[in-house]
Amino acid sequence: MAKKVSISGIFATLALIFSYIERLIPLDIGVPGVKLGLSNIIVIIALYTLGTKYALGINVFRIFIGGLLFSGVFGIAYSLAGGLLSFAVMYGLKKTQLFSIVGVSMAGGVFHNIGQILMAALVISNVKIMLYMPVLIISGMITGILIGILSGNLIKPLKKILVWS
Amino acid sequence: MLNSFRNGTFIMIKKADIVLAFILMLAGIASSVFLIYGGAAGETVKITVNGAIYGTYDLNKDEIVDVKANSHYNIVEIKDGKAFITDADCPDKLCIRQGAIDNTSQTIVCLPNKVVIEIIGPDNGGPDSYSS
Repeated sequence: MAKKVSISGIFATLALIFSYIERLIPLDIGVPGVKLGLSNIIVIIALYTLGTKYALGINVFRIFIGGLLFSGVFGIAYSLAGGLLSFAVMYGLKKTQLFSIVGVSMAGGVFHNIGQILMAALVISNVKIMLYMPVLIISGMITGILIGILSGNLIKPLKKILVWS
Repeated sequence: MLNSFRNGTFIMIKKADIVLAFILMLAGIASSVFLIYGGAAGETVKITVNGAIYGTYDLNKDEIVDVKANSHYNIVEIKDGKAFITDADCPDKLCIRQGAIDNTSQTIVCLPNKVVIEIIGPDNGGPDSYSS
């Protein structure tokens, strides 16, 4: 228990660092909401190693603190919509045990973007922003798959280094 | 199956992953097809801020509109039947990068300033009213 908490602390900090690194990488294709989702690596690893509760805690922590540090209140609203929807979908898919970590992460990437665009439509009170949906679905798939492969390969060595129980 | 590290770390891709990928791709492609073929040439530029109509302008009349709302600004230029944003005080400038639009299936969105530029056709509709 205490070890899981301290590992959660390290993970939460890492997620924040990844959010910061992500801001340094220009991925600018002119569509709002397209990003790598680097800090999702941490959330997925936590989901597969620490369990749902800890992963959700890390996710919410990184959204609020990361939002305050890097993007402001509206940033938090977008990230929260995306982050929670994506987490719910990833948790559900993982529970079916039908999907690999890559499939789970891919769905997570797509639904993160869908959550964000729904929130954006709400914020600007205009559904026309849904026109970005195709780009956001495809980009979410690509980044989600990459993040899934990275996370899947990181879990094994991490399990050797860290003592979990 | 995917072997991505030389020390033999494996990620087993499952059947359900592939099925899910196809479904998502289909959803993406279907929505793009709908958007590409659902559009029509427009005549009017509609500018909304925070969901409220700021103004409508003739797409075929060159004009520069200074959209000033909530102590922010976006400069919208209408030129040669196309509308685009030339300058704005938003932090990301994505609205400028979105380029020129002239079709009802296109929009320019400035999320930070909550400004949406739409093209509407003679029947006052977007992609939905294309069939009418």
